[in-house]
Amino acid sequence: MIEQILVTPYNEELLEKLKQKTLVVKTDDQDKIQLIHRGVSKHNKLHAIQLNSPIALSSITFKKEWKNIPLCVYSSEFGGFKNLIPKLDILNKLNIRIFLSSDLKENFTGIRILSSLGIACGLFFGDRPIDWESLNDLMHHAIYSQTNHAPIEPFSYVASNYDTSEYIDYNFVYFNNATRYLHLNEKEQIALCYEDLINRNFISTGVESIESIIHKQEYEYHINSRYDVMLSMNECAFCPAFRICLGKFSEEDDKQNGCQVFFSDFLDAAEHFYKRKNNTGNKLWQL
Amino acid sequence: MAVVIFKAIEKCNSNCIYCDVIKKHQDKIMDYDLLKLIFIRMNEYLLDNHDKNITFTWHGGEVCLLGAEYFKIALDIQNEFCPTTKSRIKHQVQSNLTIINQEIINVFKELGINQIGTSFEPIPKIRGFGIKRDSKAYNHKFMEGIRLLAKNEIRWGVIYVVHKKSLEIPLEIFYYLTNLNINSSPNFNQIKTFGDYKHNLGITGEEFADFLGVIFPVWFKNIDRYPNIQPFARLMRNVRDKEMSLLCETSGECNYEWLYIGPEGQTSQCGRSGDYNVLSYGNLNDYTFEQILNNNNRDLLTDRQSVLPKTDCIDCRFWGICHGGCPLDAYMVNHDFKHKSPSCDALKIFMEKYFEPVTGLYADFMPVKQTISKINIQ
Repeated sequence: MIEQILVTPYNEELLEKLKQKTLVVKTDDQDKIQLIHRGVSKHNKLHAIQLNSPIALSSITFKKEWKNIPLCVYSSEFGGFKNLIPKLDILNKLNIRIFLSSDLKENFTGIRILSSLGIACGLFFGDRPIDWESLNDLMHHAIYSQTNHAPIEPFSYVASNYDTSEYIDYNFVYFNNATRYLHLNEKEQIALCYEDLINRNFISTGVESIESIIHKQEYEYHINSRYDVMLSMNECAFCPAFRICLGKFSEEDDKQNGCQVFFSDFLDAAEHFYKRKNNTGNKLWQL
Repeated sequence: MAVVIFKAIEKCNSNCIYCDVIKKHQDKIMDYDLLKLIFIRMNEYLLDNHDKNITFTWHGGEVCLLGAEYFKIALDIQNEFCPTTKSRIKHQVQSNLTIINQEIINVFKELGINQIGTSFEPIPKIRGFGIKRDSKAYNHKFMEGIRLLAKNEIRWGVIYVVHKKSLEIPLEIFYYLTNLNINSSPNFNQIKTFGDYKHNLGITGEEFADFLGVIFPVWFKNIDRYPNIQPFARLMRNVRDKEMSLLCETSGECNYEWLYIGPEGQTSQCGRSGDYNVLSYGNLNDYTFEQILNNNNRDLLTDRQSVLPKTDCIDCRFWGICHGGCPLDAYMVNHDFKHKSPSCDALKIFMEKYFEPVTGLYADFMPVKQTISKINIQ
């Protein structure tokens, strides 16, 4: 069994109890990154530090001291490209993935720029309605484009991990799948996903309870929640692309012209990539 | 290989609208003495036929109504009475999964069962519990069942019965079933509506062909995504690859291999002939497996295979992949086995209207021309 990674806020008292565990540590303060790295590295394996930046990406002061730190930056906006240019040299040397919100149309362009510059990046889904067409364009660029570019998530993850005989959950990209990640807060309350943590829907309390979580029925129901979609008989259950979406946009109003079109194209793209990788496409005659 | 369709129980906890077994209102459960005799008979047969195996399919009714204890006793009997032949008995199960539990699964595993055949229906009020056919409660229990199978790493596959209401939403049904189980593709069968059928769910062969015809181009375009949808994958293997893979009903070779055993030891050709009370081969209390598998009544089916190529199927280029279809279907319509099955129309229309135009392949399996090296009956 793969050891579960704990997604946790930075709290020294809490870290003391999480010795030997692999961690994703969240912070919204860029000035604490080195401190967290030093603190966590003593007794834990650091999977990544997740910086939830309250400022635009271009306003973040990237430091060369972050060079060996696995970093994941979430920002709601790209900001001014001019401001980012002087930081590109450092950015290219960092072990970093940058995620921008789907809420701003400019971010779609920002992600293309970052990717073209060789910086691993991606989109995270914000609160506003999704511009499915722009998302589709970005996905096509991420998977089909032959020009050199860094991976764009979650497209790259799905394309790389797609298998015709497996459901695929791109939430791994966001540390949000309970088979690999558990979320906890400073009160040691543990949730199976980020949304449950926010909604105070905890599966257990106390660091010592972590090992037993996978044996709970709620855990089994959570990781197989696709059966609930099938049982509800909602539109997602009848969608051709369910296997890569798993009903994440079940609240969407116009699925047939929105998420269904996007995810169907996404599935085709993932399959195209899969065939290329496994060389199951047409074979060219030999010269 | 002999295929035993074993119905120790014909009672069911569900009230599926198209089921023929529940119409029999048979509450009997096979007693342990008779169960023992079956294994003794199988052992005799396997000792006398070293090149044969037996596929022993637990069928119903709903087999899980038997309870874990019944399967444990069957396992003990097998161990005691088939000590040297038990490895040649392959157990299979057909269940609606709504009352399966961990204890039953544990015995299934001991019997070597690692996959289960089932059925499912997303359209409400077709499969369900009680007079009102409560499909909501049924589906809930079914999902619990498949969660349990997933936990135990037991594979399962669905047979979907196509009926009048299915015709409205072929693609939705296709996507639903492939979403429900990504690892095992559904098998689409036409509803059988013989006799006093009152639910108005019957469909013609053409309607069934058109149902398949909506799904087929999607399947063909995404053949890697949905590798094993039936009957499509089988037809592709037959026509494109010339690797004959046929079901019992299309093989023309079910004659001496299939055997139904009912709760009181009554035997017949297969599960459906048992349901319809056609082709009785006597009672297991009175005859050995060898005698039952060579019962003279089976010659009627052999005769059919020599008659049809000269009569109903004389000019049919699909003969080699159909062989006149299921003899029981033919009997239920004509009261005579020496006719083609009404389901032949569905195959013919599907092949000509959809399969061949979409794939660009041409099927040529005329009675005199066919060259079949090997037939795998599934």
